[in-house]
Amino acid sequence: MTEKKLESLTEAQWAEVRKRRGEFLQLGLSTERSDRPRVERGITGMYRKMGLDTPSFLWHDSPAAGAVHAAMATNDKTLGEEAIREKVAEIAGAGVAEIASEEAAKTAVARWPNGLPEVVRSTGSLSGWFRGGWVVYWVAFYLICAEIAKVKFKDEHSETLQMWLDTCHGGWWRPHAGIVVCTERPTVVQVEDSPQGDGHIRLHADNGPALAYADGWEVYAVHGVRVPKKAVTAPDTYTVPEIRELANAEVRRIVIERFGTKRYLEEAGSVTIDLDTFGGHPRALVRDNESQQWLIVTDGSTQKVFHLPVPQESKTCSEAHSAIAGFDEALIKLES
Amino acid sequence: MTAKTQKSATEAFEVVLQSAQSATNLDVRDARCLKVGDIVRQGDVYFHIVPESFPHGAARADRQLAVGTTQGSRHIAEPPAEVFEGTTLPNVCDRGTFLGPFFRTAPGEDMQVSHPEHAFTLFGDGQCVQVTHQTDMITRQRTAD
Repeated sequence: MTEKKLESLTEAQWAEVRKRRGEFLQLGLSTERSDRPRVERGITGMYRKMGLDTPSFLWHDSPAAGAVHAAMATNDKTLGEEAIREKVAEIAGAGVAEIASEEAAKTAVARWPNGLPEVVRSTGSLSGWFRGGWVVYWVAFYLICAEIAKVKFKDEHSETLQMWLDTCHGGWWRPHAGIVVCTERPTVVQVEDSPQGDGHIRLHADNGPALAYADGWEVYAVHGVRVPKKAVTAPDTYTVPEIRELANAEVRRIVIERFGTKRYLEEAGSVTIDLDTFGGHPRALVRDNESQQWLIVTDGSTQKVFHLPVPQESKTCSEAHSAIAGFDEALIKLES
Repeated sequence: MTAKTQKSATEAFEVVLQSAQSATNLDVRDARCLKVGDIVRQGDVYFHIVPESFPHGAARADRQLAVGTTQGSRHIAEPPAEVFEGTTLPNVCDRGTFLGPFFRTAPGEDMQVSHPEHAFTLFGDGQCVQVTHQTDMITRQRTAD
């Protein structure tokens, strides 16, 4: 390609970018039933691109149900399905790499606000699955380059992008030899704006599932952190020992908040060992009735208060923090 | 009990909470003037300014500085930083400290470590950084968030 690199977009173009972004985001967060013919058309196009026959499509109501079927299919080692998934990934990967290498695509549209990756990540990682409408963020990026910035891609790449756009009209899917396990979109998607701003979003629901599917499979998330169902639906039924056992600092923080921090500290029999200020922020070292010590601390930028387990022998906040950092905290010059 | 620890645990928590809610600042933390040996904390991740000669491993394609798929693990060394496998703990660290990647920026170039929630940190002009992680004293693993 010999096109000149675009350095900026006009205000009118930015307005159009934002409008199209909203449309694509709606597609990504859709809770309508999948457009099955369109999804199947896109995937069939990929199979044909690999020189394979049109596959059969097996639809399920959720990724959980689809995963069971996919696991059964994966047990058949004669299918060579790993190779197929690798090839499908190559169709995406190679296409994107080549398109991205076209200088014209490296435009000011790089400021494209894409919230969906956070949604994808917060549901965890499942090998071999393609995320349907949730990958529209990268498809849309290139389509908007073409639509608004008038970037011209090779016909082959444009066709590939259309195939991927077709797959964005459904839920997760997993290709196998001759068979594709497809899943429906969720029936509930609850998100909120992320503190990052600029259009970023994250999963959040404090009164029910953040994601729910027709067959009852659910994902619970609070401010982008995936949590146990009980943390949302019945946080007051936790016990102090259960909270102590929560290994994830964010999940523990959320559960303590929802359980009631005052109640938690009282039921845990917590007493203050030390209270000081570091980096301009107060912090406290407390010991509970199991002799476990916790550093109650914030960081100066997230407005969060964490309860971090620290050594029983720490006598001060400084000793406790140095112990979990692995070095003398006096060396820290900045924090956030 | 000293005067400062006469507060109950709930009172002490309230003091921390008030500060968290009122004294937060999302301005970029400018680490460009820091010298070798200085450390920046971004949540549960620590950035050690190390000399240019500090040992490191092979280049990594992944710019994420903490392992995981959660929001909390999204400490990203943005371009033009180059990210490498970490091989060596800074000598100020206790044995057993969790080692993260190494990254550096080119002479004359600035780069940021971004995060979905924490204030970004700005490095520049050839600074080299070794990442370490906080330890969870119950699981004895890297703090997970």
